[in-house]
Formats: sequence, structure tokens, C-alpha cells
Amino acid sequence: MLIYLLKRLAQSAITVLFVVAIIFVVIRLIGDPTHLLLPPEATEADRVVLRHQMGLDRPVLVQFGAYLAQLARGDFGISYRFSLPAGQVALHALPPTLMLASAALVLALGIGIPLGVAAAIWPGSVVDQFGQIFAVLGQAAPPFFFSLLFVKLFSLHWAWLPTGGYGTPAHLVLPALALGWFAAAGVARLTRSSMTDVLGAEFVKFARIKGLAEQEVILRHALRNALLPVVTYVTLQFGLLIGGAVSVEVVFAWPGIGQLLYDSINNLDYTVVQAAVTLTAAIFVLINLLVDVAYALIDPRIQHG
Amino acid sequence: MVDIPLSGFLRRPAEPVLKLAPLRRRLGAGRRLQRGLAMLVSVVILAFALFGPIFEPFDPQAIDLSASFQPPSAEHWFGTDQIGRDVLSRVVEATRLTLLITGCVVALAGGLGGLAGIGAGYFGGALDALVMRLADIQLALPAIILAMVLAGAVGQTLPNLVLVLTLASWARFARVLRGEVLSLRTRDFILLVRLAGASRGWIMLRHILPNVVGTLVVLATIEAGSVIVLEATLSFLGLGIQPPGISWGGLIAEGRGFLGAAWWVCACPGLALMLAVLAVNLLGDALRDRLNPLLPSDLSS
Repeated sequence: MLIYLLKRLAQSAITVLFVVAIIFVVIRLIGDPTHLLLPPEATEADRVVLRHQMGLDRPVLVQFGAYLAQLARGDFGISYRFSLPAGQVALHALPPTLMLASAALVLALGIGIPLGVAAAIWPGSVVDQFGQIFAVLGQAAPPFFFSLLFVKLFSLHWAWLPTGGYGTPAHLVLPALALGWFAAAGVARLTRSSMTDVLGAEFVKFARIKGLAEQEVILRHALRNALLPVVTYVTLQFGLLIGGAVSVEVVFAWPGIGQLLYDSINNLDYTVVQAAVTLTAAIFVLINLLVDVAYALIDPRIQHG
Repeated sequence: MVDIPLSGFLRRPAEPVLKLAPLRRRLGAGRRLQRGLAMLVSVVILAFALFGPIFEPFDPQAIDLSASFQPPSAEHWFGTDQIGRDVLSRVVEATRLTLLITGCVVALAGGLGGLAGIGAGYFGGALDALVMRLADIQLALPAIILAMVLAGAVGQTLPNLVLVLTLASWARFARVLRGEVLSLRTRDFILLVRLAGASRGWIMLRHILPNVVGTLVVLATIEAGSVIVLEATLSFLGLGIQPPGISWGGLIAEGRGFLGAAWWVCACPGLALMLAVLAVNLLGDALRDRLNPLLPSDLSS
């Protein structure tokens, strides 16, 4: 088990390292940052001096080594847009994104599980058909389009909720709903199929033969077993929600990682791009690692090979 | 005396079993209708992309300032935008670039990812480790973030966009096909061909490939839906297709500013996008049921 753990940890570290390397190369592809940092009337001599100061005249591998050493100290460089350490800027944007993704996840579970269970208990019913339409729509529509639709309806037309911004629970509702629909669709579909399987299992028949109330059979025996695949799905979904959050954050002016990344790319603030992407990758990899390890602990059938 | 409680116990579980058969059939009819509609929408989209101008009532780029922000009417079915361009014509025109990009990306990602996956699964060892680590990297970042950074770096020309989207979507092909090949290569018929002295290239081309083509087709269809959404999101964020090129994502972004006064500028391309993804997804489901029912229905994880 320990070996498995160490192996997965090493794999994850290598993955993040690769991401850092690739982002490093991509940023160097963009061209000479001195054109951005110096005014247009600067001479070539000025550029040479600045390049030397920034270490850009050294071999790429040396630069990468220096960059890694910098990263090891948690130093991502300075954001020229904020004149603050880039790592700090990215970290500041993290809580809003995590809050949005968590809220979306809670909504996804709150809507998806009851819908999926009801659909499995009464297949072909109105609830089931509604659930299927809900799921198919949710998986087809990009979150940014739902965002705009919700803004039109709930903010502009009925003026129930703010069009964007951050701070109060009211600001959270629409972005979380727009982002959560996609995940809710997956949860509903998976709960339905998982629950349908479980309801046909012997132990459920036995619980019924034992004379347990139907509601007890469903809630205590069937649902608890049907939720296992849903839980896996949801943990993996959390990473995807961070990706989906980008466009939602842009629509709702939500001050998260996605919005920061969008602004930083448009303003050529590359230290922040590097920091934000590295941070996202690290979180993503960490979540996958935790899921794997939790599974290895829960389910002894998984090989620790 | 013994009968009474027993029949009482058995009645409850017996109910769903009796109902199952007719229910299946009813769902089947609904599903057939769904798939028929999906086919219809796909054909319409294909027709729009191939013969766009025939279906465009107006020139999609023609500006008519006297007719700006007209709501949907008999003349302009989807209304007009801020400078009087016909939204319907622009929505139809957008299918071209969308389909062109999606087709190229799926072909490239499927080809590269498929090749990498088959090679990794068949040869194992260092190649396998390399391909899987590369796939890990792609899967360690949400596709949209990877695509945004790459698109921001290389500039938004059409070939670059195809490249960026390919890089953001090849890994799923590699992962799934590697798994299939891993289980195929230990099967008796492969062992027998190897025993007969066939070369590795021959085995992969003639014996492995035909057995994974079904999976590849299903994956390509499912992935096409994600690529359409990814491209639309990039274009919406201004990092995809640049004006005057017309794309659904770009049209939605244009309409975003006039959401209050002229919802149709934004809603019509959005609905078209949704319908297209819906059709492709349903088609993917249908193909999966036909070609490889064992493939999990949700491959996003």
C-alpha cells in the first residue's frame, strides 16, 4: 500500500512538472517579452540590457532550471499588471472558484440524485421523461450559454437576481446554477442507471421479502449502494467544473481563476498565466490522487501494482 | 394458511418484473424518435455547412443600418443584429467553420490519439509510459484552460485553432484505445497470428485495427460534441475564430452586450449550438449501442 501511494505520488509530481515545463515552453513561444515591457521608442541596446537583466540571453535549459528553483521557493515572478507576486494573485482568485465549483456540485447532487432515483423507481413516468430531457439538455449546452440565458431571464427580465458580481449569496445563485446543470445532468443519468441495476439485485428483493417498507428498502438498502459510482463520478467532475467555471466566471464577472486567466491572457500578463495554470493543474492532479487513494483504501480489490 | 402471507410478500417484487417488458418497448419507441430527430438535425447541419448560401435568405455580412435590432419576423426569422445583419443567415454560415474545424480536429485527434493508444497498448514498455504520461498532462488540465493558454500563445489563425483543439482532445482516444488493445493482444486469435509469424505492423494493421474501429468511430462522434462546445467557448472568449469569420461562439459573444434589448442576437446562435451538440451526442449514443455497447456511456471521467 505504501509503495502504491509513493508511486502515485511520484506520478502526480511528474505530471505537474511536465505541465510546468510545457507552460514554460509555450510562454517562450509567444516571443520577446521586452517588447511588452519597454515603451515602443526603446532602442535595441535597451532591449539587450533588459534581456540580460531578465536572464533571457541564457540557454533555455539554464533558464528552465532557474525557473524551477524559483518555483520551488513558491515564487512565480511579479505580475506586471498588479505589481504583486503572481503566485499571490493566483491564490487570491482560488477561493471564489472553489466556492463556485462547490456550490455547483451541491446543486448537481441536490437536483441530480433525487431526479435519478425517482426516474429509476418509476421508469417511463413523467418524472423520468422530464429527467431525461433535463439531462440531455444539460449535457448539450455549454455553461456560458446557460449563463446568458439565466441573466436574460432572472436578472434582466424579472430582476430577481444580480447580473454579476461577487459577495452575497444572491450573486452565487445564477453562476452556480449555470455551472451545476451540466454536472447535475451527469449525476441524474448515472444515479438512474446505477439505481436501476441495484433495484434488480437480490439483496433488494430480499429486503422486500423481509417485509421492509418500500421507502426503507429504497433509502437504506438500494440508494446507499447505488451512490458509490455517483460519488466517484462527482469527485472527478469537480476538476471539470473548474474548467467549465472559466466561461461562467467571465459572464458573471466572478473574480475566480478563470476570470483571472482570461484577463491575464488578454493583457499578456504571463507570470500570472503561469501561476494560475500551474495552480489549476496541481489541484486537478491532487483531486485525482485523493480519489485513487481513497478508492484503494475502500476497495481491497484494486491492485496496488 | 401458508399461502396467504407468501403471496402477500411476493406481490410487491413481482410488480416491476411484469411491467418491465411493455415499458422497455415504450422507451424504445421514444428513443427511436429521439434518434430519428438527431439524424434529421445532423443532416440539416451538414446541408447548411456544405450548401450554406442556398439556405441563407440574406448575405450574412451585408450591413443595413436602417434595419438594426429588428425582432424575429416573417422577413428576418431570427431578427437582425446591431448593424442590421440577418441573424439566420449568420447562424447558417457559422455551421461551415464549426463543421470544418470539428471535422479536422476529430480526424487529427482520432488519428494521432488512436495511433498512440494502439502503439502504447501493443508495444507496452517505454512507449506506453511515454504516451500515458503525455495523456496525463493533457488530462491534468481542463481542456478549455489548455486551449485558452495555447490559443493565446500561438495566435488565432484557423490552422492554429485546429492544432490547439487537437492537442486538447487527443488523450481520450489514446486512453480508451490503449485499454482495448491491452485486452485484445492477449486473445487467442492474436496469439495465433503471432505464432504464424506475422509481423507486428501487419498484426496491428490487419488484426488489431479492425477490432477497434467501432470504438474509434463511437469515440470520434462523442468527442465531436465536446470539440464543438470547446470551439464555441474559445470563440465566445475571443480566443477562437476571429471576426469577420463567423462562428456560433462568436455570434453569442456579439449578442451578449444587447441581451436586454435584443435577446435574439444571442439566443438564436446559442440554440443552434445546443441543437447541434444535442444531435451529435444522441448520434454518439446510438452508435455506441450499435458498435460497442460495453463502452461506458460517460467518458468524461
